[in-house]
Amino acid sequence: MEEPEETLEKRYGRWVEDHRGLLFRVVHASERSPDEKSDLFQEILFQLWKSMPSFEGKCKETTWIYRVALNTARAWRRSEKRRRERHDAIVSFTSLHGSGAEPNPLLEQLYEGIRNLPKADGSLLLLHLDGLSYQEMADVLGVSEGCIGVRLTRARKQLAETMKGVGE
Amino acid sequence: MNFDELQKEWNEQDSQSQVSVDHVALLKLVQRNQRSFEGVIFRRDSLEIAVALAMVPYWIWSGIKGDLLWTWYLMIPGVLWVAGYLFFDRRSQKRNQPQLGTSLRVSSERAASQVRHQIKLLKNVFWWYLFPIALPIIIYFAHRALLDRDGWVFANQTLFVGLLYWGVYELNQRAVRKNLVPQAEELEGFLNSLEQSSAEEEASESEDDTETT
Repeated sequence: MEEPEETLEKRYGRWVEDHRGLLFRVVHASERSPDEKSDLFQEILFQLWKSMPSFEGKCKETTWIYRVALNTARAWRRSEKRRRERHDAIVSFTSLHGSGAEPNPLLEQLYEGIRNLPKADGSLLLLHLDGLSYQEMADVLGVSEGCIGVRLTRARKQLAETMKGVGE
Repeated sequence: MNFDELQKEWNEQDSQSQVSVDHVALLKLVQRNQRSFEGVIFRRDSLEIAVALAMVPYWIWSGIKGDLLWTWYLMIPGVLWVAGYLFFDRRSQKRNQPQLGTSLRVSSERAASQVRHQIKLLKNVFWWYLFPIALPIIIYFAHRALLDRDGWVFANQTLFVGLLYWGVYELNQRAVRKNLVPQAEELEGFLNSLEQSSAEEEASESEDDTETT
């Protein structure tokens, strides 16, 4: 017997539940202030829902979610004011993550390092830390698999510079 | 601290989060926000065109009522041209909207192309918007002045229209300089940094080839 097709609503719920860590990391690596994080998080949730009808399964779900999240974060600064006006609060960023948990200074420093990198390098490093393969990273960024290695080496060096002396 | 240790810390951060999301409430809110967003976009897109189209019957009505000169009606093709231009431009740009599910490179290329289009549109605002409206107005004033033999009034009217349209033109150019050019530069910078890695890859490949030979 064929399995019934998953509705968009169900798939959305599953994506948010399964990948909220990913969304959190993209937001945290893109913005500093809690308000900005909260707004960007809501914007990503909104854009993820809007993008769902275009998802045809030609790439992995995680690739799609990374693309939507990183594209939204990249475009965010340019249009934040206009966008902020248009939607109400969907979910509080702080209620989703980090409630009650002490911030880890090492991770905070790592996020700060990523935020200080050029956006393309920051995105690449985030994908690398999340354990994506070179092929997956290339799919998200839209570059050849070969140039991932070159860029990653440089991004890791830059990050190491900013992280010097941390955690020792 | 080396990269592997950082990676370990990174991987552990998810396990610290234990808060769940109310999917039903979230979905309702996202859907509601989408409806409201689509409403805002529809109103924005149709308002300018509707105002331009509503001008036509008003113009005809006021021409007949005031028994005005035939040159009064030259404004109608001007207004229809602007409404048509806006309509077709919006439609073509809707098709080119960046898709967020595509790769960062493709999405940024589309966004950059949209911004460049917007810059071109506003830089040429005189030709597609101001000139087709200002010209019939000035022709009408000239016609009126010719019949009344009053060059002084015509000069004042033309000066007023000129200043008003210069103000509108300047506002558009200011938007180009303040908002659109920085957006385009930011997007091009991002795209260049992606392309730079392709160039570096080619360079490192050619170095490898040299070493092998």
